[in-house]
Amino acid sequence: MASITLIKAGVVSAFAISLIGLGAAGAFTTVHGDRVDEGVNATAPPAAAPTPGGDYVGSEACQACHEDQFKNFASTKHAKLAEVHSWKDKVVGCEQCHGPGKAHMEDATDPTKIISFKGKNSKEISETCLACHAGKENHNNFRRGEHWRNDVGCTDCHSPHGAPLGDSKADSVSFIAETTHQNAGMASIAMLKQSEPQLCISCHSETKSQFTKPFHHKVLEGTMKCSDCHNPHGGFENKQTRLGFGADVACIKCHADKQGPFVFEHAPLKTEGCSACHSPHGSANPKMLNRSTVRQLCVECHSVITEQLAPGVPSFHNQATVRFKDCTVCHSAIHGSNSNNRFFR
Amino acid sequence: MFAHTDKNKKFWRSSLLLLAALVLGLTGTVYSQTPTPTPDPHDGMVGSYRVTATTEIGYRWRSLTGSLEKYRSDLNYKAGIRSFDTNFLMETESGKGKLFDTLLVSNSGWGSDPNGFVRVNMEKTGYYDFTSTVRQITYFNNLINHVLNEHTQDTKNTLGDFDLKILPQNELIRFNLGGSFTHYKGTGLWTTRAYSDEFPVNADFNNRSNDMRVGAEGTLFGFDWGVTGGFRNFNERSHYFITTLNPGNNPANFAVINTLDRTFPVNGQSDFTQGTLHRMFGDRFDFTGKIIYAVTNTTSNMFELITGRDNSNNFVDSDTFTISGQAKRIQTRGDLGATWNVTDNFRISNTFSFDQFAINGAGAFDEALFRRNAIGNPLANSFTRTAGLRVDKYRRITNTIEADEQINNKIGFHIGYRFTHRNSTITGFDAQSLPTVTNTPISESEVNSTHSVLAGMKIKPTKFWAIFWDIEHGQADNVFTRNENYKYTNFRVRSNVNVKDLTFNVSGAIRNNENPSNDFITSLTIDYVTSIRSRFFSTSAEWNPRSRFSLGGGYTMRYITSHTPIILPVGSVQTQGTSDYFVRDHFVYIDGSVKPFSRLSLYGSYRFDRDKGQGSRVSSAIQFLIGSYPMDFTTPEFRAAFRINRYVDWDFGYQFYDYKDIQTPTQNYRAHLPYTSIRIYFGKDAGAR
Repeated sequence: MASITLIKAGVVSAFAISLIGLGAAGAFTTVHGDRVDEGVNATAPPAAAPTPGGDYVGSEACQACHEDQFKNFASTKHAKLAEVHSWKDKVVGCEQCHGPGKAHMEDATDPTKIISFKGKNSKEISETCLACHAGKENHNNFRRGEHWRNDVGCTDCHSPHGAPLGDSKADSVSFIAETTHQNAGMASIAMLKQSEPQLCISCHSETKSQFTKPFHHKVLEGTMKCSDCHNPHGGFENKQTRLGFGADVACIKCHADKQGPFVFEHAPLKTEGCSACHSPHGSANPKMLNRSTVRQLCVECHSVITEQLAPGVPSFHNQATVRFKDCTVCHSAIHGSNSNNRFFR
Repeated sequence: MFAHTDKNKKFWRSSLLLLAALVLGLTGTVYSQTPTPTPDPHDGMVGSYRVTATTEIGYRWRSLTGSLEKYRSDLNYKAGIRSFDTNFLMETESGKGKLFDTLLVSNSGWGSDPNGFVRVNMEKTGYYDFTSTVRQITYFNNLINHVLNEHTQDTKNTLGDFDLKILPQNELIRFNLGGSFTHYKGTGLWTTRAYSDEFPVNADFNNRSNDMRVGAEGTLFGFDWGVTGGFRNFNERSHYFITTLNPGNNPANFAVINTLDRTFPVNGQSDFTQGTLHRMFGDRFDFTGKIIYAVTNTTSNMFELITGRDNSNNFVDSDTFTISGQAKRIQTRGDLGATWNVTDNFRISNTFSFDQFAINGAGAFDEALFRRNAIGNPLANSFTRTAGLRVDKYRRITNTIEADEQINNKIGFHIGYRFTHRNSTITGFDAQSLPTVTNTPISESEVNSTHSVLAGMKIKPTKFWAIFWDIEHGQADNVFTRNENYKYTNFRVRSNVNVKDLTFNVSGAIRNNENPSNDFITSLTIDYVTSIRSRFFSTSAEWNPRSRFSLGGGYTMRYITSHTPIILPVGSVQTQGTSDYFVRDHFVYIDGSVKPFSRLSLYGSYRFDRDKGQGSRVSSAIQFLIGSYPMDFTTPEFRAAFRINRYVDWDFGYQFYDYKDIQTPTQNYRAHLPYTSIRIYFGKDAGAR
């Protein structure tokens, strides 16, 4: 109990110290625009928001020629940064990513006068986004993530300009409808090209079959999102799963009764995770188990289970009989028990 | 077994009330935001906000033949009013709203659906970003092919998440506040073991958790930092009971339970602190660190009273169990990631992870047994007092070093090496102080290391075509009971073609996994290696030549072959056998939508899943077990949307679910689900749909 109090006190103290430290460092005054970053690299995407002036002409100047892009862009969070105090004295809008536009305006025919992302690979494009978006915990591991490794970049999923969405049309009644301009859904919030899960399934097509199995997490129905469990921007966990609560696996966030700790732990829960026994996307088997009979699932680790067999007691753990087809009939507290070392209750 | 009618009515009534309250609430919000709140449906403007919204409410009928239990376990769609997909979006055109810039309310599935959600996103750029999701899942499980149909559930799981970011775009400091809750409640069956028999037990399931978290992140001295602290309270209040004579599963013994009453309250408390640090040094060196320290405690107190007869046919007048336990887990996780951009195209990354936990659990068990023999004479009272202690310690470090080279815009590849070192121990004892004094020490430990290599490549033969593949070969940690490590090979390949109107994907994976044992039967010196081979192949295509027409389809094949040597008693002789398991699953879907006239939009879909299981394979002897789960699941769907006017569509459709397997007794079903609904559009572009 003392340690819990200690942790709480530690959290509050760390928080308070951070605030005091930031206050002392003048962080809050900069919220009102007292400090600006320095340096602009006109030939590469800016690593941090650069100072306006000089060769920067402002987004409105782009509007004259790039009317459609500007129209969509104007309602995005990127465009609204101009209204945020802490961004007030920095370059925002088109030139934040495309670099200063003055030379381009003077000679629009020369593609070298403006930063264009046409022909750039996903990693190069993503570096531009990460100049601002890295540093937030959610994005910190993008450079080491699966998507990065396989050259899937930010703009494969997000539309930095705010993409126009299609017309409404009839769609499935069981699964959430596609994103349209009348049904913008989450796409409008995260500047996604499509709402989840359609976006994720467009590449991970095999998951569609899993999510239509008789037993599945309700992802296609919209009750859950892929990003509830996975962090598409990378992470330290296997399969880029999120942590559920504290250091616990993602499943524990909703399945709190499996969190433990238990007096008698079933080791795989903590060491291998829930997917050692369950197919989290979906399965034809009850409880989304990896095997249709519980016995098979158990013997893949406990294959020498009959080692305990007492001579002359042939019926004990006889897997050929119906009674021992499902180990959890007896070992019902298989996720961990507070009362029995063999998980009987 | 379960009564639903009243609950169902209550559910959709409350859902409608919720929906009405939501709409009223939103309307109230709108009015409170705008001095001249006259909604003009022609331009979709409400004050300074542009409203874009659709909502659909309708009625679904249900006609079912076959197994209601299996249908409800799979789908659980009921007849009644249902709220379909709904989105309500308010955005400022100017980018400056008084209270919010953007408000999005998404909602689906309430009413006669088994799952529903309401998601609210509200933000004002520069000030706050609020996200909340409330979900409810009505879960039903009553299946003859799972745990002898003795683990059933008719439950409701309600979950909520609320997150508020303050100053979300501020680079210097941002604050995060959040809370979550879960509540799982309902009825069903569970099992308990007693007197060499197993008994189905009625259960009132009830557990809940509440989380709170608070944190801040920002930039200080060039470092991006983050601190989060949080706590969770958890409690379990499920109740298990038997009130009528229960003969148990074992026909070969006398044991019966007349009454059982078990309360098993568990209280848990979890606290965590997390810190993150990130910095990009000179555009060349990216560093990320994360550390989590968590302490979780549970206390439990069980009281159980059983009456009946034991396996020797004695009367059990009273068998009481009083068990109390405490467990504590202290866990520290640390992760360090570093990427060095050696050149613009060549990078080296290293990821180091450290995970350590210790679980101390202790329990005290008291049993008081009062019995009479079969003819009613009292037997000696029996008192048993035992105690158990377990200390589980686990430490694992993992280091992965990778290099990736983007040779040009068309070709990139990566190679890597992963090392894992693990140290795990279980110590403790099982002791008895009544009726005799015994003490059995428990001690098990394992220290081992694993090595694996990984490699992959991405090739873009043309602007529209990308191929990825990667391979990983090596070993992975196993659990305590089978201390040898897994040996595995994973190979994945994925191809994406994105031509103007056509998207075509192909992907496949091969996974070979061997799970050896270092345990040997003394009389049978066999290495018990479980071998699991998984294969999947998936392809899909989407064709959208014009906005009025789209066509898509796909095929996924999934094969699993699992082979495990086992020991079975044949007669009274321990005999080596095998347990094999097969999945041979094929899933096909095709869907399309077309708008033949401006007022009519049609959608059709056909999904078919067939698992052939073991096929023609049959067991050649009693010790060779073969398992699989052959089944067919067909789910066609049709929908038509007829445009009545600029703002309203009349929708009608039909869903059909056809399920077949080979279980005995049969649990096949066919469900016909016709429905009709009204979809209402709001906003400037409503007519342009």
